[in-house]
Amino acid sequence: MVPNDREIFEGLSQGPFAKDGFDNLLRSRIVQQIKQERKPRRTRVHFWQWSVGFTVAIAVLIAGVWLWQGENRGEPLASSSAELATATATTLMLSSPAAAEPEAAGETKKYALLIGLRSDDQNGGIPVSEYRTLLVADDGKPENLALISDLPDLYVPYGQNFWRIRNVGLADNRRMLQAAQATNLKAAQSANTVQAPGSVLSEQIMYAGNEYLSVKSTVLNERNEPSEQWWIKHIEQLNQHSQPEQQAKTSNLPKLKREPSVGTDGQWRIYRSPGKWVFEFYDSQTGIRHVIDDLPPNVIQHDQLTMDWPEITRIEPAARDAFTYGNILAIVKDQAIQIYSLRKGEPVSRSVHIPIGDNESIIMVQWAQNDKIDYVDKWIQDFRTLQQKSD
Amino acid sequence: MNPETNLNYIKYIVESDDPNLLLEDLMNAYGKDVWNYAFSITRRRDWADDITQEVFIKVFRHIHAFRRDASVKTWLLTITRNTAIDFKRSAFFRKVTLTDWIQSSGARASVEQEWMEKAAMNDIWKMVLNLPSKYREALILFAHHQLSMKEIAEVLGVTEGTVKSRLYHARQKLSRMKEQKENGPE
Repeated sequence: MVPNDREIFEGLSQGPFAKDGFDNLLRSRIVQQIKQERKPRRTRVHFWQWSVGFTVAIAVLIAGVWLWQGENRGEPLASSSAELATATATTLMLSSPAAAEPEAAGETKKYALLIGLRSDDQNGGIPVSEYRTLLVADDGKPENLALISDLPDLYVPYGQNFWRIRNVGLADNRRMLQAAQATNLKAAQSANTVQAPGSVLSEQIMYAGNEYLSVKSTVLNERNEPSEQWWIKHIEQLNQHSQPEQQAKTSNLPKLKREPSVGTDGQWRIYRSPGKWVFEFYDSQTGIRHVIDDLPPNVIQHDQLTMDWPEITRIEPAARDAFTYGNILAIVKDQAIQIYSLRKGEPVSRSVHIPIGDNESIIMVQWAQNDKIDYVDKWIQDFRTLQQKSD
Repeated sequence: MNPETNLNYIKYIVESDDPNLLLEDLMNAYGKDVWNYAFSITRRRDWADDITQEVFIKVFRHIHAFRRDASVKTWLLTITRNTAIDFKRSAFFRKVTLTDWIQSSGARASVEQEWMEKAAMNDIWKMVLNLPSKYREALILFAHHQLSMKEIAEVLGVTEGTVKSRLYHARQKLSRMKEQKENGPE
């Protein structure tokens, strides 16, 4: 039977969802975006107008004085107009942002890239994961990248130290996460015994920042069936394996500028999407996802892909994810990560090729540079020490 | 009250009028319409969010370019449709498509699916969202946005005759879907 117009009109009279898609979160995102667009444009135009105007005025003044002196000295005026044009053009070029670029580019800078990988497996239907950490950095010379270290387990920079996060087995074969400081230890520390409620079956890291981590727990629900529960934990809370119900879900989450306008019955989660980390609030009751744009910097840092996707695929057509910082570009392909040192957007020297497994995914991307403190060198030294300990 | 009546003043705005206030009024009156139409075209919440954002930014930039003989709603829905089409053609679309491919069997896909199952409001919406895009759009503009044949033709860039034909086929397809649902899969 053909649904009549009344039925169709009534059925479609409201929006497709119980909750409006156009909510206050989206509205404020639009207003913010417009504010952001307006501010820099205005400033930039004013600055540009000022600098060009000022430079032209100075150039004309200098040239005028020079011409006036030349005239007074009795030199010919015929060639002066061409020279004036050249002098003005040169002065303009020197004051343009493009001319200032090489100085700002900081070509002597060194960078280091730390990548965390998770490999997934199943044990009796329960997810089980292992981790490894890769350090890639300039090996002595700038723009000469090399794989410095490839260590089992996840090593996360936290404060001035590295913390080791790994899966440890319990007596009943369940595997839980354990976090412990791994560098700059004053004395050898014995690992704490891991204790977890029986309903927590396994834990996996989905994202590791330098303070907060996104963790997915597989827990037994009220019907005694395994179900997923995501949350964000501070690294120092990683050893608490309580059931999600026993802790306030957002108690350890930094204050957001804008809280999503949804109930509290939901889960915060961070996962990798090509080119970026996605930070969202998932309302498990309605199934609605709220992607949070104004990421707290202590949760996710340096997540700006500085190259366009077409530029990345021009360098590596098989790219399926990428991350950039400073002069480093890392491209993830199906079975490898390819890391390039860039100069003016083009790869220089040979790239570093790191094979990855089919079941491995990126869960951590951290960067260091030689600033006032040479963190690149510090990371290299720390990882050489860690490597020696693990050998 | 019909928001169209309230926003008639947009036809008489001058350069000195505050575009922020105009934007606020437009978002109050048509934010949901823009989002729902963007969602109807793309069937993805995240894209509908991005497209809605883009539409209102465009409107803010070009608010003084509004044609005084047009309806505000038709004008906004036309911008929404064009933005959605551009969006699908853009590099961003290809990038997001790549995401789907990578995560087709992963958590993201199941979240999307779960949300489609749970959050769709009623059977009619569920069925309409499964129609081919040209029938879906015509029916949603007709029944949800309640545009006239002439206005639908304007938004879609086709003749009124084509709109009538698409609405006829949309109803037929809905009918088949409904029968299939009632009788169960063959």
